[in-house]
Amino acid sequence: MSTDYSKYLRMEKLPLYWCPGCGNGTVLKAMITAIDELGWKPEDIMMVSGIGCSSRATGYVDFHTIHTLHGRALPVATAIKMCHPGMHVITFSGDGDSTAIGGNHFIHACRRNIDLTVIIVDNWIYGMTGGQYSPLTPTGTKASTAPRGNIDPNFDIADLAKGAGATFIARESVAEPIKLKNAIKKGLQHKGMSVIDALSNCHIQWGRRNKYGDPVKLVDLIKEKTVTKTKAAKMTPEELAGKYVTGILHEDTIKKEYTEAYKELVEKAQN
Amino acid sequence: MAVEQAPVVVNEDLCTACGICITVCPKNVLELVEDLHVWTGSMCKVARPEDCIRCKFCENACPHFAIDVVDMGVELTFTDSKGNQVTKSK
Repeated sequence: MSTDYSKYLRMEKLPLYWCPGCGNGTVLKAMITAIDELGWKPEDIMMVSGIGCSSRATGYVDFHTIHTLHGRALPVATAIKMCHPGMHVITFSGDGDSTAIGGNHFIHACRRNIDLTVIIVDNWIYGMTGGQYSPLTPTGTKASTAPRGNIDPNFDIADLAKGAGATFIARESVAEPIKLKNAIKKGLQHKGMSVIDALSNCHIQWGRRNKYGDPVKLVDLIKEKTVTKTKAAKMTPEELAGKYVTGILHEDTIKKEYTEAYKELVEKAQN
Repeated sequence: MAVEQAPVVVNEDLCTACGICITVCPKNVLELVEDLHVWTGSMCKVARPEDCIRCKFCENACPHFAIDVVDMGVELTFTDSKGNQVTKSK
């Protein structure tokens, strides 16, 4: 058999609580497959999540898991990493959870360059609370708090994380799960803050208000909206408007990792 | 007589009939079949197992961990859509 998911999942909690066709499951599966390929043991992995649809993932995986406050996944993950530097710490959160409510924590975790893997399931909406618009809702589309269209410009998670100082940034979508798995695998192996922006579909809260109520139609839209990094280099800024550039967008191996810097400081103070 | 094992297995307890696997399948192996005994009203069924090329697109795209595809190179014996016993080595 291929990947044995039952090794990493709490099988008694299945079936998943997410809506039929929700991209969260695809992202979770990509993460589990990447961990399986790396051969990491479930007891060495710590998974932290905030509040939201995607953050329910910690309930299903059989690692050490913690389900924290809304937007506060990263402070908890930072604390765990500082106490257990040998542990692989993964945070799994949504777009509203990590960029709006936990936005400050996100930029400061990026700035410190601590060895975390942050998977942001970017479904363009606050799905669980009833479809309010998030900082990632595309301009002009409808949400329950923007019934005539959202006028707010968006964040670009990749540029935000790069400016804040993260050392590995990738963006992939659920339309291409194997590329997503490879990006997560590279992010897990990277020493330092790695941010993976996984574009996902919310056809119930975002799709139904924007004539994309079918998961297949919305995954096709996401596929249309994404362009690879090499293709984007040949495109004009007008053509790139509204598109999402995918691939590994930034990688830096020179910047010092936070737990290593702390260890050096402790050694210096003790001698 | 070898143990009967099909190339694609759909776990009907986990399947939510979203239809993503049906659109990603390049060989049209899977099909949504109306089934009024489940809450979704339809269920994903393996309609043509003999056509499966084990590309795993459906397994990777399935958001609900419902599909299992056997690795390439494993010999399989199963009943195809016409009711014949088929053995596939690749």
